[in-house]
Amino acid sequence: MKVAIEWEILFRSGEATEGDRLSFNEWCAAHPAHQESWAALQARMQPLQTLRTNHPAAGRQALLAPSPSRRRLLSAGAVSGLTLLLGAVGLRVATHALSLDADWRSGVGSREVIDLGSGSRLTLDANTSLYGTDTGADTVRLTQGQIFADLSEAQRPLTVQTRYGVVSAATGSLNLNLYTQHAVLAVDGTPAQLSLLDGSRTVVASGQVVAFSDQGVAKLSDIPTSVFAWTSGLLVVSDATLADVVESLGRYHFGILHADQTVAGRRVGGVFRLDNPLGSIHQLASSLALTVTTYSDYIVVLSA
Amino acid sequence: MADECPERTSRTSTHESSAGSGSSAPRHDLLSSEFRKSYQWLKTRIRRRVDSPADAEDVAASAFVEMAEMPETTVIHQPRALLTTIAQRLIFEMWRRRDLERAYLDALRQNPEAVTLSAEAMLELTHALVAVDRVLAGLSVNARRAFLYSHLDGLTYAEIAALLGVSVSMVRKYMAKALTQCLTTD
Repeated sequence: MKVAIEWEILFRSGEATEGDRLSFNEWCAAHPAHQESWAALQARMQPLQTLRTNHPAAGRQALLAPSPSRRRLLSAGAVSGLTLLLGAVGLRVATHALSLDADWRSGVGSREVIDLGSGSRLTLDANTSLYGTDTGADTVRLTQGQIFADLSEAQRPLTVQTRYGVVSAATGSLNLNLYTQHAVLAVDGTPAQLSLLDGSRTVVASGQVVAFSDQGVAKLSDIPTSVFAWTSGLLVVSDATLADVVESLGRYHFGILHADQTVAGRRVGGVFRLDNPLGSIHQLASSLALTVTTYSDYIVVLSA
Repeated sequence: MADECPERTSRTSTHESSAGSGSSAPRHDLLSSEFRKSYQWLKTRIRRRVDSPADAEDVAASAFVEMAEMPETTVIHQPRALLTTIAQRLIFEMWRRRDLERAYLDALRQNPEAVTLSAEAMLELTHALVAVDRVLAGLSVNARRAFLYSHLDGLTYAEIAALLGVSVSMVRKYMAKALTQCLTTD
């Protein structure tokens, strides 16, 4: 199956050569299973064929149109159960709408440094999205990825909003890593104020690293300087979940890195090179005795 | 609506065959007593959330069919809670299907040449739209756009990259994601 996807990606690129087609024919002929997997993939794409042969532009527009009923459902004050399902859908819709217009966005595999204009220098980890806000030049919203802020020359405090809470600091340096399930804040040379969505406030002292989410705040054993190491291309973790490490590496991989549910919670420590995410995945796999399954170069899954 | 009829008929027949053949006695008894007790109740609840009595009837019947089709190994503790959950999903799917149909017809209307579609053609197209929509669920807007530009409009990755303002390797990543979903979506 994985190879069938690779061929499909190649043929759709517009860059496939005659040589590629010959190799494809050889691949098909080499084993009945090859031809079967190719046929299975094509069968899965049959509905696309139907749309392509009947007014393709209308099909595309319909599939990209926002869904009025979804909004109607969300505002309807739904019955139990429904709220949960639609909450998830609604959040996803909102996230998509937002990701299109980020003010600062770094690509997969590339870190970027930006200057907020008042002496605050921010380093964006790969695959990070950051928005300016109406409330002021030094208030930003992190929706994806990780930032390191050097505030040693900042004239005003920096405030960073995330979906789990708001962080502000006046000087020193801070690092904010937004994972799917929680966020991790590291502070050095300054205390930082952390306000959670439930209104609770915490002061995070210089030298501390904390995780926060809807569930509250938890102190971690890491030290800020190792948390900051990604800015020079190294991922240093002392006691993180495999899911978080894989998510960090995924920002550097063109494709999908994924830790299987059964192993996602395993604890990991180590130093990993961010410019070689696949090498780091294999390093993880051998130290934790995990299996790496590669579906084309794009999709890599770690499992037990 | 004309396009609802074939679907309702086919669901009902599936129901009869699955309830009539392989099901064991306890499951069968549970289903028939639950049907007597809860069908009206469920229909009334659904009616509050859909526009017509026919839709409520359709969703309630389909919810029972789905419950009947659950594997024997599934223990049903609270049939009404289960039916409600299934019905809510079905309502959501029904609305999504209608949104897709409406958006498709709106797009056709913008076409300078008048286009007419038979009920059968529209039904087939709706099925295709729903199937592709399910595959694309959860993908980013850009990934959806990339996948559709490639498959429906036949654009090359370089053209898509230029349209979306992303790199060609990003387009490849979007395609890999979408194709993987294509294989994993039921």
